[in-house]
Amino acid sequence: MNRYFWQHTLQYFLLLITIISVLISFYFITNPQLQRTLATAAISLYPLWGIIHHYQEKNLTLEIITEYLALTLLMYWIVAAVF
Amino acid sequence: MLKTIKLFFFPHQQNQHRAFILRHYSLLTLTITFILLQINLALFHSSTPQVLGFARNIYQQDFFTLVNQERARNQLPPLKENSLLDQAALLKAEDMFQQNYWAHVAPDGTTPWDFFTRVGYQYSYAGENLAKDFNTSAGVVAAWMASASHRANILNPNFKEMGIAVLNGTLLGKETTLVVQLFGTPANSLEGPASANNNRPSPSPAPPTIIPLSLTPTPLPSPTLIPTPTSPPLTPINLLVHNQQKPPLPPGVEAQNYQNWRSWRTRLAVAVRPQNWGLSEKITIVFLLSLIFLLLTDSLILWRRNLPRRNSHSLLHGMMLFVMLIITIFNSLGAIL
Repeated sequence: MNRYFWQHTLQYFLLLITIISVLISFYFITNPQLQRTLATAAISLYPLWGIIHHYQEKNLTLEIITEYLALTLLMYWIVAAVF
Repeated sequence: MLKTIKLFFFPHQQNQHRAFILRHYSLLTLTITFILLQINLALFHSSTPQVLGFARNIYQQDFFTLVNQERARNQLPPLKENSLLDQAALLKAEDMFQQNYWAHVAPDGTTPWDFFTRVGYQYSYAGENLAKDFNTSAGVVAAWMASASHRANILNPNFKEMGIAVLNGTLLGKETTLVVQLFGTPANSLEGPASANNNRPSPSPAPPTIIPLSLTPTPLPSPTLIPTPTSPPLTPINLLVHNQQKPPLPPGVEAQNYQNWRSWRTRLAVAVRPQNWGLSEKITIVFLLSLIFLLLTDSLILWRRNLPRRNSHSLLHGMMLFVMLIITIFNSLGAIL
């Protein structure tokens, strides 16, 4: 598991940076519309990241795509409801 | 039974190290169920359903209870409901939606005191608190109490009466619930006139009695507004007017008073209280927490068993949902002015 994890350090690092950047930006950006745009952009990147990541791992399946899309739909809904 | 639960919630050899509830079909079903539940709640809570939004639990009568509880804690007499102040608050809220502004003074220069005058409320003391985008009445009052200037209005011993308006509409391009709270002390009596219709329903927007605004201080107080037109948005402290001339506030006091609400520590302290969350938010937060727990447990078990599952990544899903959780909790708070 550890070796498997570190094989994709760069991809994980980029995703982590995105998540942390979004959280930090929310502290400084007080405009709700900008916050919504930022959150929507970050959410949109997540399934894209997942599909590219699993494609490179050669294990991209319909199940995995569905899983990412389900979570993305959930996150879109929450952002739309919150802002 | 126990084994079924285990296979449903936790990774195991018999479920190919992937809990049934975290599989793609379960996640899709859970998401759709969650969204349908939220839509139903929004439809249930509002006659003009706001589908893309949390159902709000803000009720006019709650404010009298909550505000008077705060006053009782500070050994202050309760504020009575005054139907004229209710009407004035409703007029103010309608004006904010019509002219599309979020401020104490309208773009056309209409002050809060104009609404007092329009409904025929003659005051010796007056004040105004505003709130929008909150999901619960308790959240609004908690936010006001966390802001020094709004708290000063709520705990002002000079005020005898209160009026509240809670109105839904579109403000600055966003569906919102606006709360206007007006404080007053009648000019003709220290004890105040009989507060008519204490238990009356929400005031109907009856045609207001238009009384020309008098700029002379006698016999009624002059609604003096200290800041100049170029000054920053007013805060409730300088909206407190009475029949004696008040000295101007020292520079920076307005910003300082409002600043404590802008502080993330203050906001966090209010945001994490479950009583400030609406029902929809509570459901969302519980739903997210449950999913995060299951996803992180899944990751932890696989990590400890050293099982490389060439599948989706529960840890990352959990982290993304954690961000959603933080956003949900922090945005349970609206804005006050």
